[in-house]
Amino acid sequence: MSVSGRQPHVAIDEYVTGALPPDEQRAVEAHIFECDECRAELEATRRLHARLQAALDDEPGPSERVRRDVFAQIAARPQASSAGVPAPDVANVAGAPGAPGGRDGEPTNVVRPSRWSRAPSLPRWAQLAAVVLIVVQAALLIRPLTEPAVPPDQVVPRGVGQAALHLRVVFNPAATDAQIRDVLRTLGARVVDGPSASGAYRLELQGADPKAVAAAIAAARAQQDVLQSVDAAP
Amino acid sequence: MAMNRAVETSDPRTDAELLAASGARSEAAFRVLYDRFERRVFRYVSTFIRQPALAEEVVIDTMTAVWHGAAGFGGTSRASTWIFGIARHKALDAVRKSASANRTAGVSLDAIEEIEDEAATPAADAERVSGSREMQRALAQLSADHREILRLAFYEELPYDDIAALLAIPQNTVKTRVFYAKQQLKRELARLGAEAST
Repeated sequence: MSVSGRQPHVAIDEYVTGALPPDEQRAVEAHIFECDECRAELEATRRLHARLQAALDDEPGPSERVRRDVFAQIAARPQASSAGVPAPDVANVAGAPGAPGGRDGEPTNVVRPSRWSRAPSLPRWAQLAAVVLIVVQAALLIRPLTEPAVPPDQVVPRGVGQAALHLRVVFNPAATDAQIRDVLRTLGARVVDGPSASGAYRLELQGADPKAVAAAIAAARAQQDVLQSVDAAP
Repeated sequence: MAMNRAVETSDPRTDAELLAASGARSEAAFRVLYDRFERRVFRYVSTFIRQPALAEEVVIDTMTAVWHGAAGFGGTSRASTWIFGIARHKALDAVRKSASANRTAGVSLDAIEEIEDEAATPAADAERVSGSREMQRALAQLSADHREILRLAFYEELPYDDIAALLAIPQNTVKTRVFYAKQQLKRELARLGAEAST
């Protein structure tokens, strides 16, 4: 503001705060040398600038708890960026140089979880059952490689002369991976299908003794924390 | 930059270098950066929010966001502009939430001015440092827009193009807003001076 109340001829405010590039600073200085009105304005702005800085310097700061809270939060999540969790996109503050503004000019520093870090939509029991299925299938694939070689005269073709029993089971959603594996091991079963729309799995018990299987099923039914239901399947 | 004089540290690194080091997870660098900015951010936020407790919450949100987002600083503006941008967003968000809680619709900085501290009284104002009291009282009479632009231009000494980007307004608007803010401030100072002399 000029002393006369009109806009000064040159950028005196920016000159006083040192915000001008060198060539513009020199231009202001050259003008002030010749213009009495702008020279007076420069002196008035310098005084105002000094008073303003002194006044704002004297304003109170925050309490000590702010520092405590900030560093406590940092300690609680120190590796947010380096651990692969995306950091807030705070660079995209509305109007920040080179950064597009958000809706209605709002900053776009909204933190959204990565597509890969969102919680899966499957229930926990289904995830566990899927893991069990993968483990069992992997075990079956590896098994021929790890079993000791059997003399050809002792080979018995699978599926010939052996009764295969099938069960339809529904795991308890709260059952853990280890519990499910224990049940499968106890039954001598493997998962051959599932989950169905109702969440049921089909287990196969090869060459099992019917009496032993019946006992195992009874025992499994007793484990309600692992199995919701066990039924014979065709 | 002006305010660094108040909380100057002996660390020779620039704000941008400290920000980069913080992005590389150097807590020591962040502590230096924090010391430089804690009060400045609090005072800037207080331009819109006069409830100290709420302003402090905004500072906490801002500085933790700075730590977690430091790696995203692109260096296309001053580090201070970047940090004040975060603070401004957090402050306006807090203002909106507060206004929403009070069932006030259509909140904007221009419209709401600021959240007043219900506990603030003339007596509390009088406790402020006496040497700067007149200027502080004059500033308190300005609109939030004018207080903000004077702080950014004359206290933080940000370049006008940075201020324009921060406030999402044209650079010419920054110049005219500074001009009118100065006029208003001088009027208030004159009025207070006249009151004191009578």
